Amino acid sequence: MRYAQINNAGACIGLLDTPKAISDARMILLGAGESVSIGDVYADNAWTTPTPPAPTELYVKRYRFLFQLHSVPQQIMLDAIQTAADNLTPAQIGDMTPGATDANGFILDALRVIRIARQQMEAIGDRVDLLSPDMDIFFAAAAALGLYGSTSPDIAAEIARIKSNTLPE
Amino acid sequence: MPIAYESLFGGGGGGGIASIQRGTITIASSTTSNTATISAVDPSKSFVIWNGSKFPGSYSNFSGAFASVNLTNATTVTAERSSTLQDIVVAFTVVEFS
Repeated sequence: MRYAQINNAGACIGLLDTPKAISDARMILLGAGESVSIGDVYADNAWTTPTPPAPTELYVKRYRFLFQLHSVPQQIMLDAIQTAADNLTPAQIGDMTPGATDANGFILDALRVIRIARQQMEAIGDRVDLLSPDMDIFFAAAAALGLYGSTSPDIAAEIARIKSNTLPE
Repeated sequence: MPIAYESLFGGGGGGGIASIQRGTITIASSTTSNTATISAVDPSKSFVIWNGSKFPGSYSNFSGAFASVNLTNATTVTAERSSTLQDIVVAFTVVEFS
């Protein structure tokens, strides 16, 4: 005889194979061939498998983020953007004038974010969390600099692709 | 003098195995113990074996993976661990002799 043990919320927290019957409200007798897994929920005489929560972290190696998740054209442009960010002068770093740009026309606000993002990646080490709020700020800055296309749907699609750890076509 | 099988495992009339129960019980990430309900056995004629622990998903620290199992009473196996990290599923076997 096979039983599933449930907790107060009806979730299966254990399974038992036993030759003897058990009379306990928390022990649900399973039918022959009935498949129940830890975590399945019992309600109204039926079992359901809950949908797992969406992940909140997705770490990838920095190499993968920079050189595999970004297409070659994007890598070239990211190199140009990064170079511009690295070459910001102290005056430009402190220039909070809305819409201010460098000599290449890159928005200083966005370049400052790219610059800080690179420093954060180096501080963290060899990995990047694609789902972190800091990465969202990076993506927004890179998008403002034209890295992911010129239309909102294209930009959103590219960012979603990278955040899902999907390689470019 | 050799020790008779019966004197080791009880009963002069055939101290065989009365029942074997195999089960699993989950210890949630925020707790250090949980109990599994089993069919009633005679604790004086039974013992429980730890059949290992399994932890779902990635795991970088094994300190929370090891658990002890004890036959607490006739219908309860208690699994305990010292560290509260991820969920673990503890497997056990209860053997009851006749």
